[in-house]
Amino acid sequence: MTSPGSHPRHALDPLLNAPVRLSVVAALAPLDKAEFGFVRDLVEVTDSVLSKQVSALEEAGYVAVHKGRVGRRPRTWLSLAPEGRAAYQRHLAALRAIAADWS
Amino acid sequence: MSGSGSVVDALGRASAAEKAARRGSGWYGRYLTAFAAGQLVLVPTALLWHGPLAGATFAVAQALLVGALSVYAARQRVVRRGSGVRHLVIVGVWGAVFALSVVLGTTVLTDSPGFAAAAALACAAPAAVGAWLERRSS
Repeated sequence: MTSPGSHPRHALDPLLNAPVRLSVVAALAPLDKAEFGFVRDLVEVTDSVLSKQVSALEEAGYVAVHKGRVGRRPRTWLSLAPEGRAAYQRHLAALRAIAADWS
Repeated sequence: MSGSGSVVDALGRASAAEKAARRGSGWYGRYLTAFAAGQLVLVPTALLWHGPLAGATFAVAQALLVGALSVYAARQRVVRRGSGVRHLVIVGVWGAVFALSVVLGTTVLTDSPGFAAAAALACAAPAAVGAWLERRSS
């Protein structure tokens, strides 16, 4: 008999179950930082949608937002915080475990 | 997660986003390739051409190369994870090899085209290896 809570789905991060948030975190995973516009284009969402999802990730401590300038142009940089990286790794491991259970 | 399809979709989405982000950070490999190519011209110039004009030409050419590459780097929208440390290692190794090349090329191996060619390759090697590693991990 399986003990309660032992199924890998319990290790899924509710915040990362949203496709856009998962894509944002996945895009930031191999990077030190990325410009807001780069992530927006990669995930194929509007500025407002990305802004809302990034706010949720920032509130959870998963993503850090830094504002800066290159010449006269203002830039917003996104980076994955250590907590976000750990949560993403746990989420991916849970997804792989679930997929392995089904195969 | 409602089924195996959505799990596979989520894994695929994450993998695709990671790959696309890595592709977007490919500019650093091009940066290193340009720097390595510059060394193939600049190092023999520094070792085989003497005098104040040669020194000034070398200094201006090197400053233009580094300046142009710095502007190129500053305009990029993505920075690969760990590239700061990698860049410091590459610049450190290049600096040591370049200093050794200049010392040997101006003392014991003066006006030697063979040494100048070898020094050019040695000075280009750190950036070329870095560019190769970048391409391999993209």
